Amino acid sequence: MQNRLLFHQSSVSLEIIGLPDFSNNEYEDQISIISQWKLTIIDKPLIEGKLEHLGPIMDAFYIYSNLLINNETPIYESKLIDIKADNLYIHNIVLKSSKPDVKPLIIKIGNSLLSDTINCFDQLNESSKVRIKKSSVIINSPKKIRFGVNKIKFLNIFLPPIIAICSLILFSSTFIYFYNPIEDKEKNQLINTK
Amino acid sequence: MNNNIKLEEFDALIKITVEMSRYLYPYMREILQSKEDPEQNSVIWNDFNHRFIELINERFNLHSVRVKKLLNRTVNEEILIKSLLTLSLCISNRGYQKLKNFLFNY
Repeated sequence: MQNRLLFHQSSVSLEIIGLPDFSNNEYEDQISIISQWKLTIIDKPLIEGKLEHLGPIMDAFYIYSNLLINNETPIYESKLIDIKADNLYIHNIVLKSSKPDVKPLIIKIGNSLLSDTINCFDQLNESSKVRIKKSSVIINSPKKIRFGVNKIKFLNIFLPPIIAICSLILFSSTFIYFYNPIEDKEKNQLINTK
Repeated sequence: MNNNIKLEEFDALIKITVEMSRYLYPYMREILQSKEDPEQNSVIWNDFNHRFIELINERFNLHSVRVKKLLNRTVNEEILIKSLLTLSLCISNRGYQKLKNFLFNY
């Protein structure tokens, strides 16, 4: 008999189905071998899949919400899921099936359902009853953003001296004097003739 | 007068904000939803925006350009929606850390 755990937030619920890993001394009510998950959004088609789909989908939602809040272009694209903002209030989700000849599922959700969904994922991450392997664990501040911050820090450190050096080069180039030995010889010759 | 906020005060404010967000989540959700279908629920959004402007008028320095932006109904919409969304994403047990990260990345 498989265990079922339900994480619920307003109009969204996330069901996790699986078994405990008894070889790891886990309790009977725990789940660490996830066999199936279902994301139910009221008035929207059911989203379900295998464990390998859960991690990328959760990642997509976290990365997308970070992009949205940090005033960056809110677009997330991957093999499994695309999320784009239609406008400030509506988000367009395209779920692509791994099976051939299956049309992608398109769902439009508002900010309220987006926050409900992410709060369900947060509950799953914080639950002591479900263990997701590290490889599929969700990161709250995505690599993209981290990279962006590092890039900004990197630019803040190196950009001012580079600009200063460039401006010095440009400014000093107007006064540059090229030494020409041939011209100098000619001048000396002129002086000698005098 | 020193306007700089101390680190402990900043942390305390974040903790209070997260607790309040947790408590007020259903209301924030309702306000966000009202903007998704403005024809049906425009009253909720208008009431919220009206009260927000009222509070800004009471408590903020109205000579500041940034505050003037908040008072402009056509400009403040994006700021309000993103602020509400940020708060509604920080209601989990790790909400404190999440809100801190959002603020540092802002």
